[in-house]
Amino acid sequence: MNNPANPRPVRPCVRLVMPTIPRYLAVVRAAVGCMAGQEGFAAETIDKLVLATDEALANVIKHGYQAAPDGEIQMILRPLSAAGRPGLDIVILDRGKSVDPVAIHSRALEDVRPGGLGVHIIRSVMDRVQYRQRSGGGMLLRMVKYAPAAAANASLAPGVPAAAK
Amino acid sequence: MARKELPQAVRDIRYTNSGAVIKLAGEVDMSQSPSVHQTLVEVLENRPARLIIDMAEVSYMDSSGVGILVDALRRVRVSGAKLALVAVVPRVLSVLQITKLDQFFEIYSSMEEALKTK
Repeated sequence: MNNPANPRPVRPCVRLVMPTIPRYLAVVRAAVGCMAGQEGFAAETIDKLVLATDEALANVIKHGYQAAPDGEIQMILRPLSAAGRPGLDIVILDRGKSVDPVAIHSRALEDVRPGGLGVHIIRSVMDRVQYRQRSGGGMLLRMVKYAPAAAANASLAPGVPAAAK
Repeated sequence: MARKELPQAVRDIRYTNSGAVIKLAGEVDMSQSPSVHQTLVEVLENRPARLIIDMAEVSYMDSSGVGILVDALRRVRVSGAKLALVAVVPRVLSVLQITKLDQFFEIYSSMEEALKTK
């Protein structure tokens, strides 16, 4: 519990859990778009953030769960701390097939063919991308997009003490 | 004979003297791409001289949707036909640009412009 005399700043986040069923991607896209808008990103960047997240989730469904509909994907959407460089931190966790992060890479775009574009899109859009294997199985993907300076000033907000439970 | 029901993301298909026009709509993502792909394959089996994909009402497309367009392009090239994309909204054009695939497609801002060009 927070000490009222020395309150911890609250780090707000939105947590989502979706089944590995593609038609629910639209729900997550809407949530990410809304959150990115609240963090002050420009419309074009919001579109790209939504796309990158969508691609990451699609990869989890396709590769992590081989399109099986009975899996679950967790997402944590977190505005970055005002003390640092503001932006959006998106973490995607699954318990699907685990892959060595070294093996996750973009393919050559000169090879014009369908498929294999998701990682390229994610790495092109996001400022930081980190894949990790989870102990117990599955993957963690962390993607960070920093807000531009002007948006950062507009979205700065002081931490507020947590309400006593 | 009843017209075959179109997938959710396919608004209309029509055949003209010069080829076929497919109108897509909505969000072409992983959930919609398989059915859209199947429809494109079926249309291309009729060997139109030119396939125009009307994208005016496509509000979102991910890499699976782009993959369909690429596959359609490969198929028409094999048959010696042509493919054109019409009225691609900036959000979707951005995906083609990020993947550097925009250079491979004939992209027109309007159907009128596309139809003027053979």
